[in-house]
Amino acid sequence: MMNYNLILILLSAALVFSSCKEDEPAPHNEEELITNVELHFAEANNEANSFTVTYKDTDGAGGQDPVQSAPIVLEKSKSYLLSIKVKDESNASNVLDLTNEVAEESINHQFFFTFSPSQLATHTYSDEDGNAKPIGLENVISAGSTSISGTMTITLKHQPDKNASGVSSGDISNAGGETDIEARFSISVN
Amino acid sequence: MLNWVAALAASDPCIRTISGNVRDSLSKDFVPYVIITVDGNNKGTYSDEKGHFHLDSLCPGTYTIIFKSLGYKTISTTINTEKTAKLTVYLSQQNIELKEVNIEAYKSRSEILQTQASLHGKELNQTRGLSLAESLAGITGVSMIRTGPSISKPVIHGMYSNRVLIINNGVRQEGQQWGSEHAPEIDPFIASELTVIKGAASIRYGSDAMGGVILVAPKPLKKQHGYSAELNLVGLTNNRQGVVSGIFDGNLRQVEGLAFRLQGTYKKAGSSFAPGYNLGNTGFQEINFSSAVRFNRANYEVGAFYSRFNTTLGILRKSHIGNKTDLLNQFESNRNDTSEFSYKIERPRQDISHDLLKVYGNLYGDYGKLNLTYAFQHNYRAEYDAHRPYKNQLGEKPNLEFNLYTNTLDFQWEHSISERLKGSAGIMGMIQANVYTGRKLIPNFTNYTGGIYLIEKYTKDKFQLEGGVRYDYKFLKSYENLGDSISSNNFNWSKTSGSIGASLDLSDDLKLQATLGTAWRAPSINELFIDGVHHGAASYEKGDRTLKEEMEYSFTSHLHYYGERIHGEIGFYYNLIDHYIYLKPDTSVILTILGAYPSFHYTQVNATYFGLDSDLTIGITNKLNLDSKITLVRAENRETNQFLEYIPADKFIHSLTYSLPDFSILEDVELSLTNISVLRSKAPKDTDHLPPPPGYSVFNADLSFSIPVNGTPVSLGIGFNNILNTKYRDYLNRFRYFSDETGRNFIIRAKIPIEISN
Repeated sequence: MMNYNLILILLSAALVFSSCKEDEPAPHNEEELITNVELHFAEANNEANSFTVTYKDTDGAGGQDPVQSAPIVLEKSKSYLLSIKVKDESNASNVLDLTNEVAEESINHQFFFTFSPSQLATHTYSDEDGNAKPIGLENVISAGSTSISGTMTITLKHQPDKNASGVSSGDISNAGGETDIEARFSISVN
Repeated sequence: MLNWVAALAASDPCIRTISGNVRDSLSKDFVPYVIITVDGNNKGTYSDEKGHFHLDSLCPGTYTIIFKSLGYKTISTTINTEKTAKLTVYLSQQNIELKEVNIEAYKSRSEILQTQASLHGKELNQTRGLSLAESLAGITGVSMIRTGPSISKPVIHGMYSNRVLIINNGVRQEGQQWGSEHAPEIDPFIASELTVIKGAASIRYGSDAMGGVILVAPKPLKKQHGYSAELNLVGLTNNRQGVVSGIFDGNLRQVEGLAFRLQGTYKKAGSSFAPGYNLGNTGFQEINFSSAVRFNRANYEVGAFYSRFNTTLGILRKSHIGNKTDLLNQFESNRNDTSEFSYKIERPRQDISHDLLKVYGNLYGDYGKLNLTYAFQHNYRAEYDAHRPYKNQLGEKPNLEFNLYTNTLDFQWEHSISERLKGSAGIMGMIQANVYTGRKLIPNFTNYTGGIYLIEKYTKDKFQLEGGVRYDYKFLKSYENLGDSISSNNFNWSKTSGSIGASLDLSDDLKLQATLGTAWRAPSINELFIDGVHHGAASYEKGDRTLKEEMEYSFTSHLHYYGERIHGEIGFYYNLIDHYIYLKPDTSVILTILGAYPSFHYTQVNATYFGLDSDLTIGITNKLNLDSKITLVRAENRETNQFLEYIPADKFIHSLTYSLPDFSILEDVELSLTNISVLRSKAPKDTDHLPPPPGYSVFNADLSFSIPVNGTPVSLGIGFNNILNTKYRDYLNRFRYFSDETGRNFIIRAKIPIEISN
């Protein structure tokens, strides 16, 4: 009697167990990453003189370091219109332009521009979000009067406090929020 | 037969003896510490820990012997000393709440010879409303690793995550436990007893139980006909939290042997307050449900259990910072949160659900007890980072989702080879598959594990010896998404582990126990494959697929003393862990489009973990008790002789408890004052963003009492935590970089049992 019950229990358990064999899990990937920051420069009074420089990290964090496609060379004392595009090139066959998404959430985003050394250039915003605060997708960069090279750091902040002191004029110190992009470009003024 | 007795009777007749044992009527287990009295006589005794008793120097005659034990119906039996010398008594369980008794009379859920501590009765009541890890944190040797006020994980002897097994109602809990901010998905309200096994308990529970095992055990379903219910209500002021949990038990008169249970818990909390400010977005919500059914007959039992755990946890908004620049700005400015209190849970947050279905059968006979248990678990975990995805179509989707499916089958045979030699043998198997969607952090995988074990325990008078051996095999297949193809990798590990333990009663009050054992752990999926930024930790982590398995050689011992005025225990442990896997900081940062991140990689080293736990209670007067708990843990890198990071700092918990006399309708009044003091951690300073925070001292108070309502005792408690609103940070809280621990908290608890007989 005992043996019969035992066998019955073991059999039914074996059946249940084998029917739950898992299929090979197929990877299902739907991530989203900013991999490219594209800077489009156009000389203010001579827009035919334009060039694009990209800061790219296609494999995301880890792996290869981000790479700047070409040096940024500005002529001294000249002004340039700078427009920024952000893209997702993690899948080479399907490159996504995320600039519009950033523009739609304009209240939550602001780009900041820092020059090191500070004599390199100055920056002014030329766009606005819904609250008359700057975004930084459209800007004016005025090159300094001396021939020097250095770094331009472009930082995209998510949910910065645009009302904090200095933030709307481009001072990142009190911005807060979190950093979505922090790209260092080598730049020289001739 | 009684000739020699008759001869002696001529000189002194009062030498009759009655001896025997007391057993549980259903499980047939021995019942220890039963109070045995002889009616109309001053004689009395207790059944010992093996349920045996002995009454002697009785004069010939007829006596009524009364057997009384907490949780059982008192019975009396009349015997005649001339006819009966030996007797076996069966006690039936009673369904009233066990009052907390300060003797080791409860049946421990685990019979293995390893240092353990249990939380049940009044002590468990005082933790109602807290998470599993918070409930256990008062046990010596146990600590917590936290990620803010809503996430906590238990730490045993300095080890956590994959080195601590949690057995949820007999089933090995499987979720993404490799994450230090992935809390166990268990509702402590299902349990009537929480047991912590400290030290390697790998033979019985699984090869990777290196630090210990936590057993979450519900009360057995009703054995007597009728219905009963219990309602628990808890309110906490700091995060304006409300908890309601109910349990309903029934045993149908109409169908013999059929019992069931329905249970549910609802918790809602807003954002917590640190002293002086609010921790934005730290609210949480939990909705849990479980049900069980059991059918039994004299020699078999079958049953099923289903539970669902559901939670949404807010993550401190300012902890989801960007990169190293942001992190350093955070430290320099030390700007406090300007958030306001809110119940709203926004991004960043975690959404978790855990389904567990268990089906089992037990067979009893001369061969012992056979058990077969099948369990299915589905663990769903979604992470919503601070940033919504840019693409509008992705909308409110989480940034990362995991679905983990686990099937386990356990077969166990508990047997007694003789009166002295008892043991168990078992086979277990597990099949698991993990699938993710969204951000690539760890690959998909399937995992097959099998184990077989044997444990035997020999008991002779004051001495016990236990030996066990176990063999495990684990096979892992990973599926990495390389964009246009899938890269598959196979791993397998197998090892035998063993243990030997002994326990010796040095005297009636003093017991010494020691265990030597081995345990091993295969590297977990994140240790092999992780490759990505860990938001909230501002770090980039990289795994290593060449990692070998960890091997532990463990020694644990404890000395237990139970005297009139003083009782307690002191334990010492020493563990050697070869190929210990940990996250080591890199010297350089990693550069990504988001900026620079401190970089860490998984590596292995030979390590040593050792420490001391002690728990001592001194009865200063009949009403006043002083309890002292000391937890000291050290972990070292054997190669560099440096301390390892993320080890709990020295902790001292002192409590004064005063039993007040009954006051009008208030009974069992107890007032306690507790101090928790933690020293500064000795972890090396250069392995972290910030050096360990200074030590701290916090005061808590608790008043508990019961009020009889229509004959049933309603237990009430008023707790007051962090009375002085002390501002402090704990080393094992990952949010210590951003905020302080929570401030003052008033807690009100009510436990209302409802007996609805027949």
